[in-house]
Amino acid sequence: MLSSLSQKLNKTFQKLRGKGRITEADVDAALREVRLALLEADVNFRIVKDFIARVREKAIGSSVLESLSPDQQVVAIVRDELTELLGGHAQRIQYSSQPPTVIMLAGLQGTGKTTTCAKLAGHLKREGKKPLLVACDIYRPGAILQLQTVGQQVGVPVFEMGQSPPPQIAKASLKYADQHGLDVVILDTAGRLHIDEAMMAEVRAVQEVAKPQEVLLALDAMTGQDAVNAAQAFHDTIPLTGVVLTKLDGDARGGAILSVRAVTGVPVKFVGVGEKLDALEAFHPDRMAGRILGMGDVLTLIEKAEKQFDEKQAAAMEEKLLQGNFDLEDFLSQMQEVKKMGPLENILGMIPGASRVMANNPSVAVDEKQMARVEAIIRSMTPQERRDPEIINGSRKRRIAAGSGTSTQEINRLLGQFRDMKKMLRQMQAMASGKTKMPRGFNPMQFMR
Amino acid sequence: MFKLFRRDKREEPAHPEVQPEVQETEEVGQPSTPGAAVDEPEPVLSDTAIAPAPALLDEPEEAQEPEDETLSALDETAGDEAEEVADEIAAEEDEAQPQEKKRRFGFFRRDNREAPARESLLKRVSSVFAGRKIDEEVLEELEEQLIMSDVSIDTAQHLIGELRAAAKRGEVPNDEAAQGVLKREIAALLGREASPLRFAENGPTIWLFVGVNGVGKTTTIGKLARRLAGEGHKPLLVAGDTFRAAAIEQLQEWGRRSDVPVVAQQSGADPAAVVYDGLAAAKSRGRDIVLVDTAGRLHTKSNLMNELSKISRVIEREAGTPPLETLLVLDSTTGQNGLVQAQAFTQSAPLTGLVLTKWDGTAKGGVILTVARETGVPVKLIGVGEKPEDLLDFDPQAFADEMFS
Repeated sequence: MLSSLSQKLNKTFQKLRGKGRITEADVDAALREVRLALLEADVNFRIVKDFIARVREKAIGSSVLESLSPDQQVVAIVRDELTELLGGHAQRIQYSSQPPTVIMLAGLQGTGKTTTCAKLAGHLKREGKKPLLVACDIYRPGAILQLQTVGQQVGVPVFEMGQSPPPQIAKASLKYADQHGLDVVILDTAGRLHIDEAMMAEVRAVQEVAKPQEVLLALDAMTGQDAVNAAQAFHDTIPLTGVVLTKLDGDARGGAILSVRAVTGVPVKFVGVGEKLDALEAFHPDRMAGRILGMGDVLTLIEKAEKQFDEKQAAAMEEKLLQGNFDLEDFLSQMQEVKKMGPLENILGMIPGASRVMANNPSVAVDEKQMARVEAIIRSMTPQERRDPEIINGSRKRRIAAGSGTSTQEINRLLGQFRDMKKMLRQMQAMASGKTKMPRGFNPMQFMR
Repeated sequence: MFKLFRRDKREEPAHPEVQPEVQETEEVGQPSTPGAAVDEPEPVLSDTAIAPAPALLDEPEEAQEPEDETLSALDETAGDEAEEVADEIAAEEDEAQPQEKKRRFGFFRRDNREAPARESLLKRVSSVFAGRKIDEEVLEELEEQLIMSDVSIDTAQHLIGELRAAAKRGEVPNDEAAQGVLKREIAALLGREASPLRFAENGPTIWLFVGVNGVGKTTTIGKLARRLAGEGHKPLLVAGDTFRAAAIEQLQEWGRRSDVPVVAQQSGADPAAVVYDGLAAAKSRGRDIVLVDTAGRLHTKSNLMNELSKISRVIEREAGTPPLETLLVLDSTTGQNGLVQAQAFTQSAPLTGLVLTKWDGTAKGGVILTVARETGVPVKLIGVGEKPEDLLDFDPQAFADEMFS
């Protein structure tokens, strides 16, 4: 659940814990991990280089060095930078003030242009537009029929003129749209290599004739380092207005999109997330940033944790834990903190140190219902009982059980677990004697079954 | 060279000459209506398809040329310029001519790669060295160049490690020697020797093509069918992609062009059933090589991967052996995900070979080094252009040379 990068960063910084101060060299070590993660995600080498330089500057200049959790800080900076590079917020289609709006799809072979055209047409139709699909791929056998088939599936008319020259087809399609009151024309062009001059000239000719408001590059999420070359060449030939990132339902990290963003500066307008024709979604830069880093949505959770965990409170808690003064009241308040942040399993992974426990002990599954019962039990105790569970005798147990709707056995189990936990904390404290500090936000919940 | 490529593009629409030979396809593959839809406009429009091109291209001379060529003859190996290619191919049939093979790679690539973007690894390596001795900085830059060719970090570090070791032994006095070492090691990763496609000794040879969406499975099969037919084999194509719209028709069109029969059912049919039909048809019609197309599928979709296992099982059950070749088609532009793909696909249908497509772009396809290294599956074919003749037998040595050419 917790991804490779955050684990690696965690490890890098764990080595540093107790060192007192974290140096620039330590940040560099962390950034090396980030660099590897980006390269493994297929972000172009040169773009990674620039990116790391920028992040380094920010990290050194910020509070990372003083932070209690430098790993999270570095990740947060990386995430923010990535998100910014990916284009802030979701982008929409630009419509022409004078219909029809023309949208042209272009790209290398096999990136998913035809499928995307149909998905886009379906999407626009649902938005109340009246789109027309135009078959400008006159080369690939079956391409026209493919567009006709998917067009039919989304209920959008398809304009085709067989193997006529694509610019002529485009021109005629505009006229057709005009005559039939269709307000969006989507041009499906043939896949072409960006170094094929004749084919690039052809796509430019189509663009000149059709004057599209949107020129979208279909980019396969699995593309590697070469994405920069292709994107650059397309952008030079037919100035792009956006990118559609396709096949994002696989497990490719999709770093190519970062390369393309860096080279062209155009926004990502949609992502393709499945073979079904409604599998077209708006692009979420933050989610993509997490994906490229191999972290999934954990990053979002880190953000939540940052908001929820009060630094001072966490430090006080840590102190309490170390002193062995931890009581059921603290237990409860920790539990509340955790609950604010969402599904438990995700959160445990976020808590520094917890990932280690979970990695060693994959059977640690947290039962949310069980948590609710524990909470009910503690809430049925008097403040005195919470602070000093040792005073809880048989009659108190019966009262608590009645109040929380549980049984004395469950209360015994909880008290037993709490005692074990305190014992363990003392052991850990002994082990830690000076050498490693207790990770911030260490959470007792991880010992609960 | 370029003209050659360019002409091609326009030849395709003008292909109707091949049409009269369609019958065989028709017998087997059934959906007649959609098929007709595809080829119908061709004969009518082929003239117009070509004529206006000059206007668009602003290169009247170049653009007019193809017109005559195309109209005259396409089926006869794609025009005059292509003769060279055909010769090269013919040379290959003579076998045991590694020289020829090597040259063929160069033939397709060199002239087409001039733009700065296509700066070759060789040039880069040379510029990296330029009068310097091999120090860590140089090695780092080399590693960078490898990574930019989609070689994985691990594999790049392995290669650089080999180079460093060779340098320590004093084997790398200059950049030429360094290239030599890298070429040698790259070829070693790829298994050194070419690993040709295998043919069954008795009973039909069955080759299964698998891969993610859009890598060029159908196109590869189409090209291969043409080549096999030209070599005197009797191939049969099986339209196992019943999912993607018009995939069946795309394969049928390739079949028509090469006069090779295609077994198909309607769109949406169970691909394993189509394969079953295909094997039966091959037996009854005496076809000796069955090329099975499958739908592109992302390796993360377990239902689709199970479907692939089923296809593989049906072949094994019907033929008595697993497909002689199960070929994973990989797009040259694919990055590090290529390895994950290979690992996932081989779980569902044990791979015997790789096909690297679209190598005529600027992508280096370096991920195959990692795939070969991690899985041990050899690369068998490489696609270096749009014409059927552009699908070549893969030669590790030539590939390593090309990475530096």
